Amino acid sequence: MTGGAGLAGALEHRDVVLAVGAGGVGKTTTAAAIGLAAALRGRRVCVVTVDPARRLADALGGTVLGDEPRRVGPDSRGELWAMMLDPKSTFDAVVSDHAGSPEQAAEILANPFYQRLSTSLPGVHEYMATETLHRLSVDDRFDLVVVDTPPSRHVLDLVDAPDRLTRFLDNRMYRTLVRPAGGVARLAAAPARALSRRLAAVVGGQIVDDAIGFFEAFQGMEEGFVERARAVRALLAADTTLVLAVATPKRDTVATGLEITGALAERGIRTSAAVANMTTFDPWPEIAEWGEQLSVTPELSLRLDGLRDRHVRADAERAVLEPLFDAVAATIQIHRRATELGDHAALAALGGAILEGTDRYDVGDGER
Amino acid sequence: MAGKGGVGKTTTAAALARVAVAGGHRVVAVAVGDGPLTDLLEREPTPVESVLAGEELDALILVRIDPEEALAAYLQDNGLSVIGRRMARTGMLELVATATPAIKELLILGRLRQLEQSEHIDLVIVDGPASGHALELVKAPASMASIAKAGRLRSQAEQARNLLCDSARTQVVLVTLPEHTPIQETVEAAFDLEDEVGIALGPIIVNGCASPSPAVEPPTAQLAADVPRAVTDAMDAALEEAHLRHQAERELLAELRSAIGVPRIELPDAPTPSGGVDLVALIGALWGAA
Repeated sequence: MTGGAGLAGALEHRDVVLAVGAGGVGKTTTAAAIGLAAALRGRRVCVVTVDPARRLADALGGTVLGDEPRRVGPDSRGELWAMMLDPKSTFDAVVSDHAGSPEQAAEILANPFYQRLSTSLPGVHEYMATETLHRLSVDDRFDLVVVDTPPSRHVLDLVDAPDRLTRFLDNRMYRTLVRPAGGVARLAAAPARALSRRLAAVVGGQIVDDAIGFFEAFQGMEEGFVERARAVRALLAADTTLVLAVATPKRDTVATGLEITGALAERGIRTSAAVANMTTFDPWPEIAEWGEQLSVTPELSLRLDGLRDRHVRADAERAVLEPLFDAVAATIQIHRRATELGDHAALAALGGAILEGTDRYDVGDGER
Repeated sequence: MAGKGGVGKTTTAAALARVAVAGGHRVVAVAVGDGPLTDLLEREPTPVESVLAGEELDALILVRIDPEEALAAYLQDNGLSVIGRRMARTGMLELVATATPAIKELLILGRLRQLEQSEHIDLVIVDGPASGHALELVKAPASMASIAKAGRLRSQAEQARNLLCDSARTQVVLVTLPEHTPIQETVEAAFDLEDEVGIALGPIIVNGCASPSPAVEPPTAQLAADVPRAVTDAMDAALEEAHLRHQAERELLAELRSAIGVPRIELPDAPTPSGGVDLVALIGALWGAA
């Protein structure tokens, strides 16, 4: 369970890496490190991050990340591009792509209901992450797209959000509000008006008007959305996509990781690798090998005292990680370090460790 | 209780609840949505209505508030029960919730206010949603007040704001870890909460602090002769990491101290990875601070 072969082999035949896991496990850093290391090995990589901490953005190249891919290095064989996921502007772009005319797009983009929807609809972050992934996967500039996913407890949103959104846009009840005209439907007009009046009394008239305006403007665009949702699902399930579970050796992040991989599996998407970040480096096995030959001097016992607790912890961590590691083909442990990721070189070293499967690595800035 | 995922927020909420009960208070612990608080408190949720009615209550009660249910209940109270059910079935309820920003958050706050007002309850401990969402929760009254100029939602928003902004009634306890990004986010959240929302901060809880570890002396000639180089190197790398980590944490905590002037409760790293929190130490520390 320690070490392992690393991701280098698994990456060779992939063009998408999707990092999934609980919040706070180092998903963004892991995705960025893999992207940088792959670029250093000759790939043309685009890393999509959700909300990089300032330090990580610095380590990626010091440039401000925007909602379009930007070249951030390196100057060697491959290329590294990076962008930050911006759900609002992504949603705007999707609307513009699918709209029948620029006027239809403009009308939707200006609608207050749409503006709230595009930032606050549950799952909208996840949907836009997959949407961005789809767009980049057909972009010739890149041969590897690494996507960091939003920290979501609603793990299914990632895969289900496109379907959920299309179902939502296809809402029959709203259709009765929107299209009470013509033939049989005219009969429904009076109850529809009554319903919209009662709704307005509860949530406010302006909100109902905005919503109806939005659905009217949206007419005819559902088809394009449904099609795209299908394409995204197929892309995620393809064997050119590597789903990578990221966790830390804590029960809750492992449980979330398993929940995600299980839910993905139910949808035909296999998670084939796992990275455990911040595991405890435990030299005890190396010591134990020499155990009986060691004469315990005060100097040695001082050292051993400091390492016993660490061994107990590392053992417990291994047990905690086991169910997740058993569920995937490739596993990598990255030991916790005293200093946090500081610069480009440190990020490259981390990426190298993940690709090569070495669990200890030098970072160059202060550790040793 | 607020903090980003993985910092031990729920465990801390559970510990705080137990401490308060041990101190003789009647406590309601509230899980918003499907958080793991149930497992930690080892009891089934009690319906809010039973709590409000004061039915045979334990000293420690677990309540679960589901935003979807709160919305359905709200529609029912407003004479839309049949429509409410139809709306839930067709996914329309979600749409109304989306179309009305802050409505779910406001309804959650309304439930919390009912619990707070109950004569059967002394303390309500809310295991809040993760950082960003917690901020949305407490900002909801202001968002609602800006779109609803009058009516029932408006008055609900005002009541919720009164509850949140009265330091005698509400405090936010931020939970964090002694790591760069969590500390940075805690400082940002603290300023947001105090300045933008006007809500009082309780103590900041820092989980998982490393114990002090002395700097490693290079091996003497004697040790070098006794023990293979690979083994001393591995040992010293581990001890050095422990030493540097403790130092780095002290620096971060000093930064936190100079940025935010509220008390901190620093808790040791758990010996085993229960979820990052040593519950026994936590209860002890909270007891000391209480």
